[in-house]
Amino acid sequence: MVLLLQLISNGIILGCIIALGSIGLSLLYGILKFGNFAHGDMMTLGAYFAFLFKVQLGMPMWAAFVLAMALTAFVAIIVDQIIYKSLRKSDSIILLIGSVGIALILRNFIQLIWGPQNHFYDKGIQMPIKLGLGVRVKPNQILILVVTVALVILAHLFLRKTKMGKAMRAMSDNMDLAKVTGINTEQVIKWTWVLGAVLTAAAGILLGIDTHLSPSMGWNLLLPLFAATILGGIGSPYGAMLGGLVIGVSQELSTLIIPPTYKPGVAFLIMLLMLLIKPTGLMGRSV
Amino acid sequence: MILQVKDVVSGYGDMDILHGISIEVNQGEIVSIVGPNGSGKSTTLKTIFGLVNLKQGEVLYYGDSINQNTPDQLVGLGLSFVPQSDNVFPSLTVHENLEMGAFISKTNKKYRFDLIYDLFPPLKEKRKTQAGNLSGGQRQMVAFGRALIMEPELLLLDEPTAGLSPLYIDMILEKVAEINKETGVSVLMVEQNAKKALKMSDRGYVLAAGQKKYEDTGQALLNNEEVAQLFLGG
Ligand SMILES: Nc1ncnc2c1ncn2[C@@H]1O[C@H](COP(=O)(O)OP(=O)(O)O)[C@@H](O)[C@H]1O
Ligand SMILES: [Mg+2]
Repeated sequence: MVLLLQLISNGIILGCIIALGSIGLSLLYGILKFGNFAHGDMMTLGAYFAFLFKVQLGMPMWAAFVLAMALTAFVAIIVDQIIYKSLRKSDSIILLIGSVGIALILRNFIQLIWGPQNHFYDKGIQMPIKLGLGVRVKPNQILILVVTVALVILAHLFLRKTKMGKAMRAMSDNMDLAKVTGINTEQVIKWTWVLGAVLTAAAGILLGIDTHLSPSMGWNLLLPLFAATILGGIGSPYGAMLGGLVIGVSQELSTLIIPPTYKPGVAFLIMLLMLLIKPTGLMGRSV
Repeated sequence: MILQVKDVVSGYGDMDILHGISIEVNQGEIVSIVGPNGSGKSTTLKTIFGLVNLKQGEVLYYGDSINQNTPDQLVGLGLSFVPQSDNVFPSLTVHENLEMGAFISKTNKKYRFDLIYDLFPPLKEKRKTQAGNLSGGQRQMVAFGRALIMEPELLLLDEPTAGLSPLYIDMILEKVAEINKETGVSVLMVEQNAKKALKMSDRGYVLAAGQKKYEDTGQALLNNEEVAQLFLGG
């Protein structure tokens, strides 16, 4: 029982990180109609930018967090303008292949600058807090939960209340109609990259806080990210949040019956089952 | 003259659909385009709005070429387009659909929304409903509202009554006449209900196989026996 609760609690933390990453992945799919294979490495980049500001430049963590999100968004816009913009008129498979290339470039860049070894934001060891029933969480994990909830609420408000957020949903509904309506689609695409990059950078930083930084940290999460996105219904950011939590918790719970090394296989299995049973996802529209 | 389509050749990919079409709309007119399915009516409107590749010819708006303008620039110039199908954002609410129509406006002026709700009272109660959950007729009202909210000077309508019940068909066509009369907006309309459309139009064009076959006042086309036999079902 204790073990079960402990695994669920760990799963929720992992789920938070996956959810943050998959919201952006889902939005980008909805608007640009391609799966961004560089999303995991953008997550890594965000984590290393925070390392740069916090550890190498000695800034407070909150400042490093905000600056890293901003810098990741900046990189995303630059990459979009230089690479994706010229590919937009081509097939979405071309965009996908382009993103695989960008994923490799980002990962190698990170390894070149910060080396292949693991890094930490903090060297100290945290004393776990006992939550009752024998469940223990690290203070950092409570921080991860709080930051995730705050960011998800902000993303929700952005999508529901701002003109730009509504335009993103409109473009995701019908790109041609959005153009006819007078929506400046290129401007909206830039904002979509900003939102996606900011959230995925946050996911990377939170993952770094929970464990450590490594050049392949985001790439390793790409499969769960896609699984969460598909589970929630591709193009549905709210579904992606739900999908993230489901994938996170099931991955952790799976260790009850299978060795932990097979954890990513669980995400893959859920993704396959979902594609077979209900391809539109839990909250997806019938496209 | 508000719109002049001059010898336009356009199409999809390598295939030409329009083979040299010329159409004119004078200020304040209602002009209808009728013709059989697949004759290129929708393609004509899409070409005007820059959604289909224009290969030859010219589209002039108030005498200036708009060949190179993007759709969002055209909206800024006072053009507006209601496509034939999928013409609302289904996951957005009625009010959000209208807001998108006003995307190019820096300020969200309330009076614009009031005008639309006055024009289509049923929308006011449904403003928080997702457009995808509305009936066909109400959806068409949303599409009109979205297109009218920036107070355009030229309104392009592609089969505004397609798929509607007879009751709604008359209601929508009456609205078109009312909007034209009250706001002075010029209308270029494609319609399946050719007789009804020509009756309320100042002028009309008959298209077949990507070419202009007839061009006259609405009444004259209705009285033209050849046109009646070939295109208006006797
Ligand atoms: N997106 C498209 N791609 C290729 N061909 C198209 C496309 N849309 C329409 N067509 C073709 O162009 C021709 C004219 O279509 P359209 O302008 O929609 O006719 P109408 O509106 O008069 O019924 C048809 O033969 C149709 O098959
Ligand atoms: Mg048509």
